[in-house]
Amino acid sequence: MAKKIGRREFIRTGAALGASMAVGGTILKNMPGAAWAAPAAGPAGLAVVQGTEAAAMTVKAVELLGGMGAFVRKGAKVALLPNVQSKHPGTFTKPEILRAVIKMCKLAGASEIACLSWLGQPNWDGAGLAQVIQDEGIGLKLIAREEANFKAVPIAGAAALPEAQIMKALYDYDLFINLPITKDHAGNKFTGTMKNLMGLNSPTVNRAQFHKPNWKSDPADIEHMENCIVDLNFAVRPALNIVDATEIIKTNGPMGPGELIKPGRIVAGVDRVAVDSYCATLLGFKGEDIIAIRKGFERKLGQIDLSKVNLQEVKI
Amino acid sequence: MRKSGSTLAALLIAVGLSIGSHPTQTTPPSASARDLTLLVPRAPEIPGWSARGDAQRFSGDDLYVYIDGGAEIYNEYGFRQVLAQDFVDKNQKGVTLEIYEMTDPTAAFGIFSFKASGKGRLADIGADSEFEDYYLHFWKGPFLVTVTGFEANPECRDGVTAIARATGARIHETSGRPAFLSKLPADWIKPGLKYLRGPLGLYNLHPFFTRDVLKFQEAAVVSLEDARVFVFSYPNPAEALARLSETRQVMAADPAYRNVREFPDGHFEAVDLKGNALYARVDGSVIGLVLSPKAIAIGVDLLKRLRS
Repeated sequence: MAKKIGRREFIRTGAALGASMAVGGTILKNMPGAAWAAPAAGPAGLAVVQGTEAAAMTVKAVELLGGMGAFVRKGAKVALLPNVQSKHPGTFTKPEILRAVIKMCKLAGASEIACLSWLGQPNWDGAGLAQVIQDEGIGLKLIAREEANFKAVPIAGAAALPEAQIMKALYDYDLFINLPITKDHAGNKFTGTMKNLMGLNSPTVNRAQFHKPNWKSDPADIEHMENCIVDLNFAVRPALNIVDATEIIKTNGPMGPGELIKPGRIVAGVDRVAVDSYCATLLGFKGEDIIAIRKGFERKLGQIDLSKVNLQEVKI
Repeated sequence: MRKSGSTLAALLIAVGLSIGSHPTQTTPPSASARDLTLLVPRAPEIPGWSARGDAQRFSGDDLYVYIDGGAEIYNEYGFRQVLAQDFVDKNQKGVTLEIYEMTDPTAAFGIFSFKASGKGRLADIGADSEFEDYYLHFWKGPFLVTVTGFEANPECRDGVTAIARATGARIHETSGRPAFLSKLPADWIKPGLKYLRGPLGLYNLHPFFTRDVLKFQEAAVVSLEDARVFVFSYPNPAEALARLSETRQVMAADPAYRNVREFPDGHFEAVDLKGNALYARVDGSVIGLVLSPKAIAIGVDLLKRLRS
């Protein structure tokens, strides 16, 4: 079960953060609303850090990708998207991971940092992330579910979702960092980076178009939902994905409670398909077993074959 | 999609933690639903524990608000409303009680079977119960109850048990398992059995197809030593035969299956991509299907045990 971060861990995290920021890298612009082009796996590739201290692992993973400065330019406004779906163990992004990311963004010179969500305050309180946000003095923007708060984003070549409805507040930021937890999901057996973007899309659209009202009688619905997830990933593009794969549920997802497993990993990368393909293995699947991962690869969103990714795995 | 002009007014932005309001977490239950607050145990019934904060309640489609992305499986079984209430002890250790009212006892048994692993210990609460590492599920009448402890220590485990037991005592409705299960041999009715009502549950247990090819009314899945047995129920034998035929045809055209071979009386065998032998046949109004890493003969023998 998740361990609370202690004073000693804070100190270690701080030291690791300092080391990380010394690495640095090229500054990229990742405008959420910019015209989208399929990203290559990138020179950074895929970073996987195994260990027991989630904050230090997070810092190390980003360091392997060139440091947060490679993604957050000085003065940038950064939006964060952790998963706060439930407070059950293994179902939400750990507070120490969010804290480490916030600290790295600050050290990279971010001018503004905020978590965005259309989920309510109880979710943030229950997951312990509200406390981190308060401690770190960053913003928490809770977006009401009304249509007016979402912006239509057409998706060219969509297989199932011709138009996303992305929360307008996202476009107040220069980039966003996707912070999902990977876990079981009763809808499609797996959730990770690609599906977490549903947290930016209108919940009304998520319900009505991803999960169609007639889904029980519609024979293609599971595939439909997976196509919608891939389509959505063509509407918005995270600058970076950092996945909590430390302690996760293997059953009864996405909300739990369920069987906890401890892969003890932080998985980070730009390529969402590669990140998800790796995370799927932690739940006993191959990337090809999960429809959205397979379709994401087929539609050139990213690389499913981990042998073709610059995979850096370290233990700390 | 329609747009409103009052963007700024509707956009709720809070910087830091100075949040004035947020999306509602409580929806009124439907008129037909029971008052679930009556099932929440009070302090005298759970010594050392007390409710913290107000209960959250969601009904009907608003289950999506409570379990975004995870509501579909509840709806497949038949969901009516849910109540969630937090409890704490004097050391502020936390336990959460969730009471799901399903549309009928069969739905409650089904979602219980879907969520329970079959590996936990029996807790002797309600009709069936299972205590897993840090949480407990039981079902009784039309209710599924899940109690979760947020720390893996004896105090939380005791709290989980006490709150579950007190909740169970407040539920007076009782009922048996689905009648359909009588078609199975008695020794197959054991913890870990899954009772299904639709394609999503089946897809999560075994993704035969991404389409709903089998179109069953009810199903049971039993994991045995050398095989997994799926029993699908239909309104009549003709429908079962038609579904078996379509299943065979779809498998024959699907690259995920090979060596699909039909026999004169309609039963068939195949091999999946992982090398599992698959054997399926109709018995009255049910289709029996066995998946085994071993020989087809195992499936043939197992399905002889079904009661048509």
